[in-house]
Amino acid sequence: MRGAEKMKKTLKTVSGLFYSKSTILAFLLLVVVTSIVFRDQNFLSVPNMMNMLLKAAKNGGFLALGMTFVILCGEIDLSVGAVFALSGVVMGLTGRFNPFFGLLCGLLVGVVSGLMIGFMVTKMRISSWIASLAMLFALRGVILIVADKSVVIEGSVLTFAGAKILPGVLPGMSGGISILIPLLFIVTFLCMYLSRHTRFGMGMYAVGGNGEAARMMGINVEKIKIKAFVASGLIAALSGVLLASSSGSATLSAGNIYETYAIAMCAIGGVKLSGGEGKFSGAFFGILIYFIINTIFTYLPSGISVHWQSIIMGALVLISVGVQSEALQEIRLQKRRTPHKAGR
Amino acid sequence: MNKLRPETMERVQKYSAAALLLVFVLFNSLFTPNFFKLQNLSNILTQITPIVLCGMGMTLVISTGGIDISVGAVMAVAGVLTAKLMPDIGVLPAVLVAVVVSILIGCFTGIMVGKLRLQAMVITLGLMLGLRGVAQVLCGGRDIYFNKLGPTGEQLAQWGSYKIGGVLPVQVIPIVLSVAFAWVLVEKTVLGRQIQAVGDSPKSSRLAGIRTVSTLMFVYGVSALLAAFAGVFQSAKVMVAAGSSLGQMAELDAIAAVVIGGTPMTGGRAHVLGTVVGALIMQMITLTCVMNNIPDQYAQVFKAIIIVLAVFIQRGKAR
Repeated sequence: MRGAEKMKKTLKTVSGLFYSKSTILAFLLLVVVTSIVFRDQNFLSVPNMMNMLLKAAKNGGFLALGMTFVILCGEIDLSVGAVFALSGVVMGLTGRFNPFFGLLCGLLVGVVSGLMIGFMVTKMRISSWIASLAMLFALRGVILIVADKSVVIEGSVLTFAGAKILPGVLPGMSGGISILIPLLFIVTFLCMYLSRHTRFGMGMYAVGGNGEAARMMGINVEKIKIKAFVASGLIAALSGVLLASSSGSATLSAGNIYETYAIAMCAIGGVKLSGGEGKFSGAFFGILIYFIINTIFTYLPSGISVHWQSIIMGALVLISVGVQSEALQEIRLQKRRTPHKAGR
Repeated sequence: MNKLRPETMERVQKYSAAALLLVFVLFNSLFTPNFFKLQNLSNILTQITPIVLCGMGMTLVISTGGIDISVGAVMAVAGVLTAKLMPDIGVLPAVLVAVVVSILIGCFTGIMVGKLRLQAMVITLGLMLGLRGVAQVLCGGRDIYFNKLGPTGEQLAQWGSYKIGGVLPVQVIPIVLSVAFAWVLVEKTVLGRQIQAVGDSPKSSRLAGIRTVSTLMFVYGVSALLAAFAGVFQSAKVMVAAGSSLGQMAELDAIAAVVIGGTPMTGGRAHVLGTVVGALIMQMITLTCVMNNIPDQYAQVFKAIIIVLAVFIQRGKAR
């Protein structure tokens, strides 16, 4: 009798884990399957892993972290791709006078754009879809106004992100690993800390869960939303600065439609797009899953179109939100509850 | 602004989009040479087609409280599918197949949103990524040029360049049909009322006996249908079906047109004619800049400012 009870409890915990940790499970499954299927390619080798992380840090992995702030508040930021490109360009242009000034200006791009979107959303009460879309149009225009071709990034300060650390520590990485990889982890942990242990982080969940209730509880909804937009812009700008700095040039078309990928990574990572639910760790695993699939496509024979990647990502988004569907969870709950409580 | 009488305020909001359009027309007729040339006006019509078609579907979708960001990808799939099938089965059957496939995609979205109660944005985001990939895989990474497709290619190219009576571009037909369809649907039918009711409150409309799932399926189906036609007409106009670029950003243009037209993003209301005005304003901005030799990058900034201002003036309605 006791055994059966215990068994039931374990089952419940396992099924609960399955729902709450579905992203991590998917990630593990993907890693195991990939390493078995592509065992000839040394998928699990250190250089390969580092290469993948570097790709994630360079190609918009950061953007998903920034996007998570905004989505948690129940808003959206379509401008991150444009901020990503503009920050690198601005850094290159202003960095000619003084490299540190250049870095500052690059990051300021994100802060200013975040402030402007935040202002439009909270004070002018424009839907964040439109506000950030307008920002996207405007910034893409500004990029072409300030520069007519890609900007060369020179000097030891401005190309700081090309640096490598820990030479010879990890096997197979005698040249050291790029500074971008630890930075990705640091920013992720910083975001996780912010969301769990600060008033701002708690406020985001409250605002995204129920804005009206949060207002009545005395939370300054507008301030939190503006902060979230600034965080998103700042991270996007940081990402753009890092890419330009590590590659030595700022391309004008960088980050085109990266906003879509960032949202997809969040969705795969279990961040609920209506706001109020989700974790930065989830978004991080969403980023990893995205770039593992990206890496797999480099293993495949060239006869298979790379565009299948896009199809698979789309399917993944659909599946990941399908698993988290409220309707499915309700069915699960209904089975647990007594019948007369089950109706909605 | 609160000092103004509420009626005045309401009137300002109601006609602000139309007034803005009027300002643009006036400005252009005064300062832009050749603005009223027939050539120019018919250019406006051909260029505005995808925004109007997608905008009509988007108006319906947004009035149910949802959003459909997959329309651009649906355009690409429909355009490429048509171009791909055309040489074998003829133009009309190819278009028919593309349209039916698109409707099925739309119904899928409707079921996911209605039945599983998933957010429309995520579903259509997944579809947007996935369908863009499908379009690119279908055309094998290469754009399909119509002039290499023989007689059928030329036949479809007529869909983009034919002028009725030598004057009116053929795109007038889909524009008029889609606008009339959406207007009658919203203003004159029970279904139109029900669509807006679902947008107001899905729960109460369900309790009131509205079949929300089939309503949503219908709305997303219509959105995909119109997007498919937009894709066919757009590819016919440029005479090439490109999986990667056809319909890119079309969803954003359509959303902007809808919102400038006064349909609130929160749902519950549909302003069909407003969307037409919104689409015209978007086109006017581009046109004004192009014809006055303002570089495209400045035009983009200008467009952004106009969108924000137009939405700002109307936000009272959106609350």
